[in-house]
Amino acid sequence: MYVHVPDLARLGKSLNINGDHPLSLDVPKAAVQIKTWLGQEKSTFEKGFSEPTTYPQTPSNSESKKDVAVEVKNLTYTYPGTSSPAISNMTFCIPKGQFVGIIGQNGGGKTTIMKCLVGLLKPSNGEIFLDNKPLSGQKVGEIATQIGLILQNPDTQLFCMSVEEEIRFGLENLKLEQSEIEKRTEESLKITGLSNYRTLYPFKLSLGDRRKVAVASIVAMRPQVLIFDEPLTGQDYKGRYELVNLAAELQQAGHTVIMISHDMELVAKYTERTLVVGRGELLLDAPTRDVFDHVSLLRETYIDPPEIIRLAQELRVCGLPSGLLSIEHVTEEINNLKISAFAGERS
Amino acid sequence: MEALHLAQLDTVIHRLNPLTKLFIMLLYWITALFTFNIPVLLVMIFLALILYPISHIPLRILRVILTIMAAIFVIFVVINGFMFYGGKTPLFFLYKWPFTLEGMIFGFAVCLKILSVVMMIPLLTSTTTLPKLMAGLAAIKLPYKFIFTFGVAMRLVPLVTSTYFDIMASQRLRGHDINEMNYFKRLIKGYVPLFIPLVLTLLRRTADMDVAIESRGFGAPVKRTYLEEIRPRLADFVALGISMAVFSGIFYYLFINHLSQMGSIIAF
Repeated sequence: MYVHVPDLARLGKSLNINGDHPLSLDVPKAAVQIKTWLGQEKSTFEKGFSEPTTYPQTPSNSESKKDVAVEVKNLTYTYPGTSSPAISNMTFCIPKGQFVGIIGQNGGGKTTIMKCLVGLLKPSNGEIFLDNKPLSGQKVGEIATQIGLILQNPDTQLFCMSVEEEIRFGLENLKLEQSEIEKRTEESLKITGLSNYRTLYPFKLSLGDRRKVAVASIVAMRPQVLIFDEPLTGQDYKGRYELVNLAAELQQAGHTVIMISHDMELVAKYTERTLVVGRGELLLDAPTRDVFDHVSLLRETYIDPPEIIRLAQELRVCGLPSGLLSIEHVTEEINNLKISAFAGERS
Repeated sequence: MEALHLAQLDTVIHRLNPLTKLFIMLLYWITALFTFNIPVLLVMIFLALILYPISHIPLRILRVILTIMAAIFVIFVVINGFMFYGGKTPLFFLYKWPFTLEGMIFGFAVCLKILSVVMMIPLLTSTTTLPKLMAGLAAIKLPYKFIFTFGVAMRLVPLVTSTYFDIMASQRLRGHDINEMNYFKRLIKGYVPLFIPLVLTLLRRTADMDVAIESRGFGAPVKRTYLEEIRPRLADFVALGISMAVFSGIFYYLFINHLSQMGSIIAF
């Protein structure tokens, strides 16, 4: 059974702080409890959490040209009939094989960037390069073989009578040989774990599986870059992890994966780099381990770091290192602190 | 979508009572459907065209309508040119079948009729907010179920449009781009991948809407109230007076002046 247990409850259980008083689910209270448990109630470790004052931009500019999957230069887009741009002057590049998260408030411009990347929207200004080739002048169908976008709602694309047919549709549009279509369909079904559902009517499947069908039909077109546009909306706990695990597997297989998401826990757990977008601008572009330290900036875009990261930040006064993103790492570091505190007491 | 924005503007036409606008539109439609007289239809189209800038409705809306209807108009003219019963002046022959002048004029008159009817729709929908229109219909004691159905149909238009564009985008991402297809390819295989998801998505949404409206008291056995107040003002009487005068003039022209008989296509 898949039930989401809050991170702090899991942490409390794995640390086994005090059976009678489980770890509070409120971050400041939990931090006090852990400090007490560590015997460091009044500790003021010199490297305690302080918010960075500089905002790093485009850290991957140093990448050599051949390793760049997507390069965006001064991208601006204004929707017809509006005066202010939805995104303005965005510059970033994404190296091949990276798992990148894009986060930000609704209406901040995330989806507009993605639609520009796949050619659904023509930039008002600026340039986009895919694998060092300019995007302008290419048709959406051509771009689709290099960069695949999996939209939020899978139902907007399903129309065939079987999962298999649905996957083949895109390949037939690419006018591939029959044998190649068969080969790629098999491959896609296998990657997405849909082999047993191949003959089923897609609308009979659960939302999670329908999303997988959408992923399979895009993956079959073998784009180097895959974009997931808020793939976790409306998904249950199991569906969320299955889909993000699938994205991670695709990255392991060599794809560049870009994920737009409001789920900070998964962004923290899976992505290597995160772009924070707000008010149509790129506010921050940094390794994910550093992004969540910019608390004020994230609040501007109505983003709260995941509880476990907030707790780790609170505990930095006790000597917890920075850049801890997962519950496993936080647990390990707290245990290390406890061991050293115990060793100190004994000596 | 644009109609929703335009309905919020404030012009003389916007300020008219929705019932006044509805009445004028019906009068216009009846006249247009009553006659095949081409000069009369052209005058009516001209009158409707004058109302567009007055109500700040951009004329490009008409361009969209004309683009959609162009194919239908061509089909009407061609079919009537060949099939019109009583055509006497052949212009050319296709195998044995004559394409007649009378048939062509009749087809053209039908197109003008359709165009004049369609042209009036944005003048009502883009100058009247939906709640006002619904309150107006309620004021003439139409059954609420009918009014509500009409309201839902109107509200579905932007929903259908945005869903259609979403679907079109997701199919383009799989290499199915109807903009790149010729007319026949579009008809044969272009629209199926768009219309099936559209219908399924809309069915799902309407089922959701059914639950949503019932959970908010739709069909409750009480008399419904309306927020919008519908009262005639001086401007309404003036507008009604002007339209009655114009349409009386048109009918006078059609009946009394004997320039053409009712229903006749030979208006020249």
